[in-house]
Amino acid sequence: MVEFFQHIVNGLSLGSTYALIALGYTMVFGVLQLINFAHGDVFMLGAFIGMYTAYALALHTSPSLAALMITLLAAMAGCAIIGFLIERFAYRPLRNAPRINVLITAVGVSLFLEFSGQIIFGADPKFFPQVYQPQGDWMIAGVRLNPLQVINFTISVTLMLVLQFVVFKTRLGRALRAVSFNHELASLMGIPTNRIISLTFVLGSILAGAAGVLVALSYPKIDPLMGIMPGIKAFAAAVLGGIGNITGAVIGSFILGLAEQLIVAYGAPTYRDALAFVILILILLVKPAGIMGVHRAEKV
Amino acid sequence: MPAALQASDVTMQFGGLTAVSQLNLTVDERSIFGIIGPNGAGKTTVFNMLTGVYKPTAGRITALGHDLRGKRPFEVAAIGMTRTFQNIRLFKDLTVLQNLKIALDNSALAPKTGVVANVFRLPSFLRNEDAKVEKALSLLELVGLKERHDYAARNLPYGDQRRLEIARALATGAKILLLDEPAAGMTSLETEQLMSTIRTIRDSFGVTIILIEHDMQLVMELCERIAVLDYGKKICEGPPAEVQCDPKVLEAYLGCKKEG
Amino acid sequence: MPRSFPIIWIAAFLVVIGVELFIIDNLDPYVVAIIIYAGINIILASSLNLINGFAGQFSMGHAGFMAVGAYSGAVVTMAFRDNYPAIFNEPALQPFVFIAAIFAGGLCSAAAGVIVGLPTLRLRGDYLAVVTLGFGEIIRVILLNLESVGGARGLTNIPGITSFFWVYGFVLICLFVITRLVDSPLGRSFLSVREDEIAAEAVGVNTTRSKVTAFALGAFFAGMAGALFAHYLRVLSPAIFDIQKSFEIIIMVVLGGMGSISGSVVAAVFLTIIREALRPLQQITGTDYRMVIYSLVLIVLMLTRPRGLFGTKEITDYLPERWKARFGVRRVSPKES
Repeated sequence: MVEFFQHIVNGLSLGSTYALIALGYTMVFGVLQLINFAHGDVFMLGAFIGMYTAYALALHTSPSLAALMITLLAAMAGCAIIGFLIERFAYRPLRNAPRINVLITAVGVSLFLEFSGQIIFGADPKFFPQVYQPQGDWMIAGVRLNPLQVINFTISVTLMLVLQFVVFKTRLGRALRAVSFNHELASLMGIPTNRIISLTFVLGSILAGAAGVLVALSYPKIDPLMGIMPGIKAFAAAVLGGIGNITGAVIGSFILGLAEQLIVAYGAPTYRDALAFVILILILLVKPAGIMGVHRAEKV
Repeated sequence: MPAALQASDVTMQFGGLTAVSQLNLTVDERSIFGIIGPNGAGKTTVFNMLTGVYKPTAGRITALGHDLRGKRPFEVAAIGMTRTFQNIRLFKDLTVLQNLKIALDNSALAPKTGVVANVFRLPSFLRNEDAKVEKALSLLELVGLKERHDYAARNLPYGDQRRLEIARALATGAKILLLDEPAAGMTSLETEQLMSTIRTIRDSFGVTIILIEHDMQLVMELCERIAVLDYGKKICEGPPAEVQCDPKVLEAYLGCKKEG
Repeated sequence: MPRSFPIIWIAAFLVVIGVELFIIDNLDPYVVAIIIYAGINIILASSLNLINGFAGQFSMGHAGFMAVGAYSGAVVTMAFRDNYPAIFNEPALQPFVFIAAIFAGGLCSAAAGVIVGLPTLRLRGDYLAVVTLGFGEIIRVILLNLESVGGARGLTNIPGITSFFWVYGFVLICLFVITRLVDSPLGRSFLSVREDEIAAEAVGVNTTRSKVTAFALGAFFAGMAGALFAHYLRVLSPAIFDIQKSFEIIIMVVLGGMGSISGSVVAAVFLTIIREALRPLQQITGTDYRMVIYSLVLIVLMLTRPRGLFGTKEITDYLPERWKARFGVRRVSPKES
């Protein structure tokens, strides 16, 4: 039983990472109906920005919570800029293009980030500096809690709550929801649609950047292709929860995180990477709207 | 005269919304039948049910002696009933001719050949293709598009696109043609031409025509019977003269009861 | 001469035989390798174009189909070699074993294509793209776990039968079938599905059957390409058939023009050569610029010329009218207004 709870804890920790990435997918899909394939690579860039910041400021020489925060903020800021640039130069010119062209562009941007990453950072895995090294594990009723997991989980949930606040309690969030409901109507109401779409990318990228640092902290080997799998899995989680739906993305991510952890523990660990796809395919076939979403049929 | 199409107690619900409620329709063979009603009355929903795009929540539809229950749109087309769309749906990047050939490929008007004959271009395939071109051109002539057969459909003017859609529907070998606002966006001259085309189609092909239209002049002149829909219910049916004077129709259109 | 006589194709086949007999042995083996990879890529790109360009179902899992064909083809020849060495080692019989293996690869892949094609009944656009990508990955993960084909270590010691003749023989078969199907009721039904599914159904096209057929056919040829590839490389591992491989094939199709077979052929050859041309640069700098360039091509293409090099046109569209008649070109491209 204790072992089972251990897996639950690990699953929640994994799920919180997926959630940070999935939120970006779901928000962008909400406003543009676009699967931003490059989103997983923004996550990767977050890890690298974090790494370079840590080395530049020699944060790893004195690991502390403050050092982690600085690394985190740097990665979030860097990714915000990258997210803005991607939207501005790759997606905005295609606003009225057929959706398939935008999809192809997204694939192109993703490949570009991955492979120019290989040129700039090198293809070999790099070691992410230990900017925060808590000592010893915490034991609660026999369940081992790694402090990193706890920090990871706390920061993720905090960021999700902040996002929830921004989207549902601020004027900006209201504009964002309006744009996601209907572009044309929103712009007729005087909402600067393009600026809101930029903002969506920026918000999503900030979360992905944070996820990059948090993952790198626990799994300190980082490489330019590290974003592909978590990216696609987070997308699967977003679809599971109901793409376009913020709460759904979080729920879907936790379900996926738990499911992966349990299949590794009790089933077939080598099939772990296929699980997200199986879930994705099943949910799209059975209930394409996901857990929380509303399906929109094409009008004839 | 036997009925080409019969709908009995057909109902369509979307969640809690009843778009069409217990509709009964009987359309005689070789007649021109109009469906009118204010926006949102459920006219296009009726077409969607008749052609298998929507599955009616309740009720029964028979066309040309076939029960349409559970039939998908392509099966309904194979039975001999096909439609045009309110917001024109052509194969835009293909030529006018190809638009018709696709319909002919699946139609009883042209024989079919096997895959082997098609890949090796055996004489049977080539004969067949020639026959389709010929048939297509004759249909295009009917709607006045023969000269533009090699244009991309997207490059045709609006009125021509509507006419092409009618020709394409005919190319399926349809015996019942459902036209969803065929005159929308046409000039009055074009509407005149369209009316004579529709009559020709009925007279020389023996096709039954059901049309949705907002152009009252067209409906009143062309249709032999008219059904009026309002809020998903049929409020009145009869010959044009009768429908025109029905107080319920005036109420539906003008939103108030006629005084006196 | 009857209109149906495929003179061009027979001439092309004779050229392939001529090159195999008289030219190929005098070429640098490295050049031969590039030519062979170009041929395999031609099959991959044109078969994907059938799905993506003609039927309009954006598939991102083509490497998965290639993998199924590669593994099943290799398993067939290896089984023959190990169980019936007498047949396998008989020079007069080996080609038949090989042809059987290639077709087995194609058929297994086509079966996978039907399974992957089924979701198209409910999904379209981006969703379908992601699901096909997922299927491609699932195929790879399954291969990774199949110990009977070597699992992660891969399959080794596959007989190296593939030669110039075999690759280009199958390139011709593939192009022959695809170009002619495209201009037949089946191909037109693909186009109708791409253009407007609802209208296609309304004029009697069984769109379900069309879409699944497109996937099965595309997968069939991709499987053949995979089997040819397996018997050339002689080793297989699941890692070869990753997402990147699928993207590479997509880039060829997009660059050539979705809906243009000639475009796919040209783009496949061009990108294969570019890849090799970049190899020295890679050796000097130690980094692989190929994918960076590919991805930039993709982005710039979408921003400036989204229809690719050829759009939906074919090379034959540019022939003078009397040549078209002579070579039995039946295709008519839309007139630009």
